[in-house]
Amino acid sequence: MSTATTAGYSRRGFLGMLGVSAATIAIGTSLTGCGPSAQGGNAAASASVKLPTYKEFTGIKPDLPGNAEGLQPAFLSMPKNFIKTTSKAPLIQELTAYTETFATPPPGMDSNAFWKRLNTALGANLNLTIGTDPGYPDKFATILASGDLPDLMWLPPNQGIPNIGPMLEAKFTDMTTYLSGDAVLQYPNLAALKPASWKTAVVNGKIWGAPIPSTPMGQVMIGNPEMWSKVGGFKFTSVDDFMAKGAEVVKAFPGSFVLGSDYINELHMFGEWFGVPTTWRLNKDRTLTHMYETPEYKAMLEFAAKVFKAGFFNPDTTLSSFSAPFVANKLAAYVSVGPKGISEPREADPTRHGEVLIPFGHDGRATPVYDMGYGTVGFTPLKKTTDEKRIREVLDFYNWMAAPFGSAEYLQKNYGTEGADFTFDQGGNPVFTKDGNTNAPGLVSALNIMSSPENPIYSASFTKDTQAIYDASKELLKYASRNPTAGTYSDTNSKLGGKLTTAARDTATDILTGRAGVDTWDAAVTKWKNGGGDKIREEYQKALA
Amino acid sequence: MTSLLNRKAPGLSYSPTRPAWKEKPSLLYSSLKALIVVGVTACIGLPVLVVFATSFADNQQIIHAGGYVLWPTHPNLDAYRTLFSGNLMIRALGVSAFITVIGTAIALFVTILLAYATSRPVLFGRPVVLAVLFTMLFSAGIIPMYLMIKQLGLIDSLWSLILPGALGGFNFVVMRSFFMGIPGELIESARIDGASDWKILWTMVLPLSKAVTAVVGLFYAVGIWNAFFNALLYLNDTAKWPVQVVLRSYVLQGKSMAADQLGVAVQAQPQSLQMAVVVVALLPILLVYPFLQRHFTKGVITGAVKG
Amino acid sequence: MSPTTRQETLETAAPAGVSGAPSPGTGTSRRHGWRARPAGRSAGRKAPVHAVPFKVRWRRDWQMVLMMVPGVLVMLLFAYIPILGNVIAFQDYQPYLSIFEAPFVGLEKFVGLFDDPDFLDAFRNTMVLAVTQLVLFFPVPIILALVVDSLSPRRIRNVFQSIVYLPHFLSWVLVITFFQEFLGGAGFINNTLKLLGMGSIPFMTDPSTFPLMATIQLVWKDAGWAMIIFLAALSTVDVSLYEAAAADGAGRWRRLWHVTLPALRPIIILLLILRIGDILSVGFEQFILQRDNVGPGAAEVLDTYVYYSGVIGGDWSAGAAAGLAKGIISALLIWGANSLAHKFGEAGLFQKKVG
Repeated sequence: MSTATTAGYSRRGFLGMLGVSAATIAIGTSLTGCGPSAQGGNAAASASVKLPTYKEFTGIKPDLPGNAEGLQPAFLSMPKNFIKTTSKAPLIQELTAYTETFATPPPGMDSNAFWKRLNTALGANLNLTIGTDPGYPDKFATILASGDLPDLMWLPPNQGIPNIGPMLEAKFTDMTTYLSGDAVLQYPNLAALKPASWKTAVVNGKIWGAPIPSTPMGQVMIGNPEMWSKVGGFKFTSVDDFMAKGAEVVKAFPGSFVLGSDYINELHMFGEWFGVPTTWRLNKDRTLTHMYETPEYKAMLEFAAKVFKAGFFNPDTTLSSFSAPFVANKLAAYVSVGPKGISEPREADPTRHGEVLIPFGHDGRATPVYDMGYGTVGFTPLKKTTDEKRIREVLDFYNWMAAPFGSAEYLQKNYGTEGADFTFDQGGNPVFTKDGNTNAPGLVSALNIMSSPENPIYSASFTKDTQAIYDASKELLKYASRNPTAGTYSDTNSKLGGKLTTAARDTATDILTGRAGVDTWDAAVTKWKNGGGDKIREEYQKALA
Repeated sequence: MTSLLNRKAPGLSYSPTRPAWKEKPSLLYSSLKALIVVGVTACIGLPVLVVFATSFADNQQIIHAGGYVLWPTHPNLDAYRTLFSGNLMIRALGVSAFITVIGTAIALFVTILLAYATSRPVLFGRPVVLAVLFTMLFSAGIIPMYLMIKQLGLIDSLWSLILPGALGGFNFVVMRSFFMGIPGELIESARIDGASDWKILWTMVLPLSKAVTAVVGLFYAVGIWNAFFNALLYLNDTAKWPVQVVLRSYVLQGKSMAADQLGVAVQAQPQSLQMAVVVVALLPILLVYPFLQRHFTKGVITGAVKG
Repeated sequence: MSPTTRQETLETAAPAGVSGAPSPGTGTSRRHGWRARPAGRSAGRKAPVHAVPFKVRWRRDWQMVLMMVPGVLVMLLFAYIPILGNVIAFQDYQPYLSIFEAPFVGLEKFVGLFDDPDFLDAFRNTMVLAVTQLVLFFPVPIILALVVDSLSPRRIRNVFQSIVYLPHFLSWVLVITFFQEFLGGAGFINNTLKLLGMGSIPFMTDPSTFPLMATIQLVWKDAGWAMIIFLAALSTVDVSLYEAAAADGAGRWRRLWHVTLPALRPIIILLLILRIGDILSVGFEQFILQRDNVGPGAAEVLDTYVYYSGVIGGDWSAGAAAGLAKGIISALLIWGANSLAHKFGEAGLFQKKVG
């Protein structure tokens, strides 16, 4: 489980799923050629595979360089000449896929000129079944149970699709021989994906498809400059300083609150100040300690309860967007997905932006941490086939879809065709036309969740934030901490992780809100350990040994 | 309000609504009723008004008001323009209208037949009633339902949203209970006159059951209109999506665990748009209701029959 | 059960009890044979117990049986066959396995359910909420229907009716947002209290009053909707009865008591039984949305429990087991409530077999 998760899990994840209650049952009339559940989905095997060779794409130079520590390169504007990175259209026959959109769903293929032009570029129809949230995991399960799979299915890393190991073995194609080591060099855009990204796509010691890199940065706290400037800025030397300044801000802006209401995210931020490990801490003797077990976590909970008691949290747990209270100066800080969150307030008011909080030691001395994010949004495996031609075709498709930022393919995939779907503004940045705006966003979102190159920092609409995001990232990386189990796989975690985390979080939230004393935490940790936490640790330790 | 509700002065335009046998309301009684009516209306009307007002308000006003406004100072249709840009929404409305009308008709047909047939002591009646009750207690999961829909070739067909719900247990029970309230003598005499059961149902029973038909029809219609999850499961083609699925994609995007967890930053939609979504979902129901309402009035025929 | 209770004459598959004409000769006399009475109103027992041959009944009833066909077909296809899938409650099922491959685990999933202390908490919360809803929510739609029914002129009646049923169509998210805006920690009431220098009241976040709060939310959202069915029932009341009662000098309240309520009684009883059978489903979205507000200690109900333990964890079998367990409990409750209704001489939901 990634730490970068939110209270949204419990509150917002499945609105409208009324009546799913017990309705989660299956009948298997489908008969498949695949055997029953594959054995031995253990983490140790995952660690042994040779990852695809990394070969950086150097065709386009970013304005601000990235680095090996995880700093993303930045582009202040869209590069001018769009290099073609592939020699031919990847598809020969139609490709079907199940993916998800995080924007308004696009018009169907028949009435979507953007989509049709994409198909032309791909060489054949890319027929997408586009899921929305909520409902993605449910539909995933039904499709899986029906046995009638589309060619590709986007597999999110941590989104309620459990028992990934045996599922992959039963229904999807092992692509290790085509991707492991130097084999990947045949697909240069895939070779340009970083080894850290590839780790996601490795389960049971096999590579199951191309990973989908997102940002390596984790959650950050975004502050409201207009409000914090009244009390000396959005930086703190200790938690006492934070409490004092927070109280002043509320005084200066009556009716405002210091923090949002997404408790789990706030706990995550507090944890960084207290030096709580990024989910797991790898000890010197190669054993693992989970963040829940650390004294830091408990101290953090105690502090969180104090923050709640001081009335810092916005009491509205159904708040749909933090941008509106933010620009109205009713909210001084909230948690966002990453440094790029500083642009979010611009949705409500284009003149406003946020600033990133650099984590600080809780007592003014301790070293804080900054938890890096999951880094990818999973991978998109191919349904089981032994037809090498088809596998090669899909690999060509992956390669096309992973074309780097600034390439001709990237432009086609994200913005379409100039003149028809988009035009360039004075800064050389693409802007959708009216048609493009109708046809593209929902489709582009669906495409980018199932395939992506390594992403730079770039914003077509808010170019001036790019430098600030880059600078903040650089600063954050000084405290970077990564989950040592990232990229390894634990069966038990895949099966029980969600349930265990929910239970622990419930107790943490109870403590934060004062419904339970901090002393109840020990029992919750014991419950977590006995309920499967210890077993998960064992599996990960084996993988990391 | 009181004076409006129960006019004291006889002979004014309102008095005909009070039958001759009904006494004039007392002051206490009228005030109590007025209090309830005004109170309930305010409790419900105000928030609903806020929804409408916010959907027409401009962003600046909404932000300053903290999310909701009682009255738009600069009313505009931007939110609705966004919703209806492209053909997705228009199409979805068409799809929803289609499945709601056809689906309600089919469901009413199926339910009326079954409820009437089992409301009389006939062959197989009791086991069938118990069978329906059983379906209310034990439900199938989404996977077996999906497999059934697939077996029937209904994936990506609008019938997948219509047929599975054609017999609602609750609606059946309610309808049957009303049919059982119709005096048996009435039906038997028709049978003696040689009328077929079919004819009795359509020419005698149904005209006596307008109210319950309206209610059950409404229940079905609303159920289909609100169809969301099934549409998501059974329909792959976005062009076939009913209105609720499209509407939800405006409201929910970016607020789910998925987006947060995956680090996908999604643009939040302005509040006005979200409220416009509520209005679009609400309006058709609002427009249909008055047509059903008239059936909820005590009918003279019923009285005559029973008398 | 006393043979004179009236419900026995009502029931359908009680062929012996209802065939009044023993001689299966002519069509007319056979048809005379079955009759139903207004539910819950008429008393009296009709016929002796006599078995009528199947062929005779078929000839008499084939048209009615034909009418059952579409409904039965729908039921078979979309309820019964899929319900067979519940067999996975006894397996360790995964969607990538077919039902024939999934290992059989017996009652393990059921045992696992009742072993979990969290499950018992969820069960307790569900019962508390259900009882609160039953006492505080159930009567509201009836009262509303009576108010609407008594409203005149018609225009006000119609407008009022449309307004009260509207909130049903607002999502729970919106409903709870409204409650937050009004009663929440930063809501209208508490802000006003703060301005007046008084402390705030944790309407929305106090776990101990949560069942009450949740029920108020439910009343706001659904009372108007639930009212419709009673309005429909009221529309079947014979107006002449009022007239007669008024002529006898019965006042407003007496008419309500002696004419209106008796007419509503069968539907009230019916809905009450259905509600009792459905008592384990108190809602889902409403509670999951307020989980952070009051904590799982107050807001965890059976359906959310199943969601978190079953669906999130991908334990489909546990979900099926929970569904089955719930169904069995509901069946017992419905049966009990129905029997109780019979004891009081009501028709109830289904009638007992005459024997």
